[in-house]
Amino acid sequence: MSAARPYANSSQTGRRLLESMAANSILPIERFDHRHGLTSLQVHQTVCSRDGRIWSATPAGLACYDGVSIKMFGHKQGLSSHGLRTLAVSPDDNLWIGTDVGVEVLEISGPAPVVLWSKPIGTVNCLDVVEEFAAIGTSKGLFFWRGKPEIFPSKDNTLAHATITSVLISKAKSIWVIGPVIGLKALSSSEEKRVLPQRRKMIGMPLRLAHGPEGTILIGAERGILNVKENAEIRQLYSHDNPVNSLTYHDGKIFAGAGKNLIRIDPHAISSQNTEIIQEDVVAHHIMIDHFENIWISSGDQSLLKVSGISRTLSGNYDLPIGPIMCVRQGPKGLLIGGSRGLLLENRTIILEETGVWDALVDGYGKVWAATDQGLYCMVNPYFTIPYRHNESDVLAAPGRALCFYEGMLYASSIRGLARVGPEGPQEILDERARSLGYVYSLHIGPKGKMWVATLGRGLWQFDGDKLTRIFKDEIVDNVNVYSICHSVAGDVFVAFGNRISKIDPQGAFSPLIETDDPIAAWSIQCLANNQLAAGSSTGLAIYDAQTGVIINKISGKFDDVPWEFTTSRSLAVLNDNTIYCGLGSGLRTVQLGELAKLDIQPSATLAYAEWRGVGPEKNAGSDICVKQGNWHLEIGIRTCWYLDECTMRERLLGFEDNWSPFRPLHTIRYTALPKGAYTLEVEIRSPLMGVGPVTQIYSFAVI
Amino acid sequence: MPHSKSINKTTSDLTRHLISVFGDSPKKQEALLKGANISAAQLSGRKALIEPQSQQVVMRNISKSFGAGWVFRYHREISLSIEDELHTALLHAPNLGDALDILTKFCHLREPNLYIEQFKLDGLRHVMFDFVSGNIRENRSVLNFVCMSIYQFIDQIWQPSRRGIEVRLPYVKPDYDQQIKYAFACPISYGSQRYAFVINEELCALENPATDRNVYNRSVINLYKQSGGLSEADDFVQTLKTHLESISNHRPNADEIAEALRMSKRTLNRRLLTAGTSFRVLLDKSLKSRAQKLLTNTRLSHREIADRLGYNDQTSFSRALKRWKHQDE
Repeated sequence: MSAARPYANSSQTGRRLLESMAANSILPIERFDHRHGLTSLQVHQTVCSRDGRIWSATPAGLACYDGVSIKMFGHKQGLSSHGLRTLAVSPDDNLWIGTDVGVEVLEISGPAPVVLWSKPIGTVNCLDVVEEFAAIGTSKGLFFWRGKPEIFPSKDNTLAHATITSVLISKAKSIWVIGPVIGLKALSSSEEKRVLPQRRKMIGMPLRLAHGPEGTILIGAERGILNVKENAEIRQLYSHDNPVNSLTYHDGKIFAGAGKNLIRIDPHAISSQNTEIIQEDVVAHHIMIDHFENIWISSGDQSLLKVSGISRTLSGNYDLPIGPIMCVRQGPKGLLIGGSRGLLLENRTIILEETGVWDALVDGYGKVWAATDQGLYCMVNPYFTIPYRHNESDVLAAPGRALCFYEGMLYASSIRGLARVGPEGPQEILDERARSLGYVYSLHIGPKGKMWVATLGRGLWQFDGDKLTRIFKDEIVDNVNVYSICHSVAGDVFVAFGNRISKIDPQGAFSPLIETDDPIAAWSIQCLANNQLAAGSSTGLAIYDAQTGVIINKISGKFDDVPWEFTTSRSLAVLNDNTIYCGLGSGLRTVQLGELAKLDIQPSATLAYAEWRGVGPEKNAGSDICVKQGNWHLEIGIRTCWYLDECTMRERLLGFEDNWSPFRPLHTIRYTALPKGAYTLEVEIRSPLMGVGPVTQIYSFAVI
Repeated sequence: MPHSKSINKTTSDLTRHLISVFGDSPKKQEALLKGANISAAQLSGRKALIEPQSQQVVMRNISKSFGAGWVFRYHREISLSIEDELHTALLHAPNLGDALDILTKFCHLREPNLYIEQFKLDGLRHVMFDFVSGNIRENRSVLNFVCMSIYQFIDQIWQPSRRGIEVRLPYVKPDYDQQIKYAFACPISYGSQRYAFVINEELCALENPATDRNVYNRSVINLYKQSGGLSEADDFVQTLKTHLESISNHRPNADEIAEALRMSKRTLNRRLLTAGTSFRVLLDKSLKSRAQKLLTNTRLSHREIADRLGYNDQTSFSRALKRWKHQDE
């Protein structure tokens, strides 16, 4: 078993999809095909069950993606036909499938679906299920189900024998249907026919139905999409050159498969700009958006595609012409962005071209100060950017690292120390023995108006305007590399040094908080609202609970086409408590914290299978599985419906061990010839984005 | 690093002015123009531009003929009044501190080669200036002239209080120090790193008796526009900010401001929303700025400051102070 890896084997289609989307967003695309276990390139429809599993109707059977792999179900599992055409999940979480021969209802709470009942009513093209009511469109007319395992044909003569290609039960429980001959029809819940204006001159032949905003109906047709109210009054028309074969509405946007394009329509934008092609060369039979806001596209020739829901959280793929981003700072009118090839001002003007800019600030008089690879520079006015007093100070002439204003004066750090720029010129800040601080990596104005100085190789210091004081706290020894400092509203100071992040409370008490496997815990840290801490490292952005150090989210390179590698202590900026700007080796990315918070579903594990070899397990009185001691083998498969992210797992077998295994990719667990005792297997799933899920007891057994 | 050099009208104006003052005969004019690349058209055409290098040559030639201290000896004759937006803003600034801030921000509009730095330390404001290119020795005449011009401007408005100023010159005491002493009627020291004025903050806070808030506000907005720093939305916010800061005796409300700006309160709020801010935020910033000025530059008690800023009681003002302090942290 292995977790699905976006891009790991991405096809040309996936690449094209990615490239076409890169201009506007960073939507990672994943294509599912035979490598994942999907045996058909043609997928008619996809739905998501309550537990998060993805079910697809294909001509080769029912496909189920459980977050790890795709399993196919057909005749062998009791289905009457391999030829599935349509699917729906009922409110009681049963799966309705429409096949070449009829309709079947499956119970899907277990690992494999179990057929509850089936009715051979001919080729089912479409179906819709609500509470105790279903409408089923077949090639031989419209059928209804009203809470009993019996299906009745429509009483309406025109619908009773017509081919139905799309059906929808509206919020007001009226039934809307489309067929090639009948066009668009609507019935009340009591099957009383309603006359609808056909609008064919306006939009051509209707093809597909979907729920629209505020209880309205979306009608996809040959020449566009019509949004109508329940009483058929037109709300809005979106003309399009290509026939709309699939559509769905989600979070204020309409997604539609129009011809060979996947389009997104913003109903609130002006009509000339409301349609955006988000993918070309894909025939979308059906579009579904799951609990995690992933977009699933059932395609006619490219199997199943997933556009990750994380796209809503990550935005702003800024292609900035200044190379890797070294610093992101807020200026009075916008962002100042320093890169390895220049400094981008708020008005998008580049200054200091071809120079690495590690930090930049704007003072109260509009002068821009930049710590560059060639020393401190000052943009005196729009005409002149000058090396600032290099002839007066070695510190200012050396490759600059960080800047800050403290008590009305500019402090500039470089690889040769820290200097203050005052009316008497630059003055180096020296320690109590009049020695230079060396490589000063980061500066931070902390609580109580003191300046904190992070050095590489000379530890952590505090400066009060007159003298430097070394901070000795536990592991923060004098030769440690300190990378970044930040502080919370409550006055706690957080220090990233080595592979650790520690907290110093307002009373000065030190407490270790986070220790990472990576050699550097964070290049840059920033405090967030809600007592959280953002840390940018070489492996991505992690969000921690600032009190416990428990990881809450992690965004790593797998969400992008390039690694998420933070660069300096200034490469992480938080604006308005909601947007995190990430300066990465690959460019500037933003994370919307508000959107991230919506993704609050914890990753969890369930038992996929338990296979005993060399022994037949029995059930004892407590109905636990028990086996006799001997030379047997047990293999346990783990499943997770957590398909948003690349998960890892860890396990422990209570009764045999108390310690957890290290986190590893999802895998099967094997045991053999255990001593006598009672055992329970516990598993935890860790999603890089959502952190560690709850401990789940997967399987219990006893050896007697 | 690439440096752009620009010629502007004020450099040319000064050069022409100097030639007209010191070249009052054809022979003298010929001597002044020796080595300078200035054509007759540049000399006579008011819009023709003269390069800074030519200005330098002219100033050196003047020094040869009239001695190194000529700027101070002839300061009344060579004073040059250029009536532009910067001049208007400086003349109508509410106080010297604001005038110096404006000068620091926008001096490049008058002379692109000039830059000014300010440091506020121990109740003193250090206003230091220099040229971006060239060294002090080469530019001494011009910088002496700039120094004189700034002093004259301060003297023109704040003359009674000029005892709060000290002039620092970046060279050793010259033999024409008497002329310097005569030109600057204030303490002078030599050997500093740069040209500097050290001005008492109390003097900076003194109100300009000739201030005209409306003219000042308009000029500041135009200066921002000229330096390319204001969009339409920023422009409106800046108007409002300067308007708010010009109110010194009470706490304005949105209705009052909307009326003053001749718009409805709804329009005011809408335009602020477009600019990404709100009246409450701007008012708070304005109160903070006013409070800081009053706390730094006056000896008023907290109660008096609270009264001036329109707080109901001293407790509300103390709470606001705490909040601002917290924001700063």
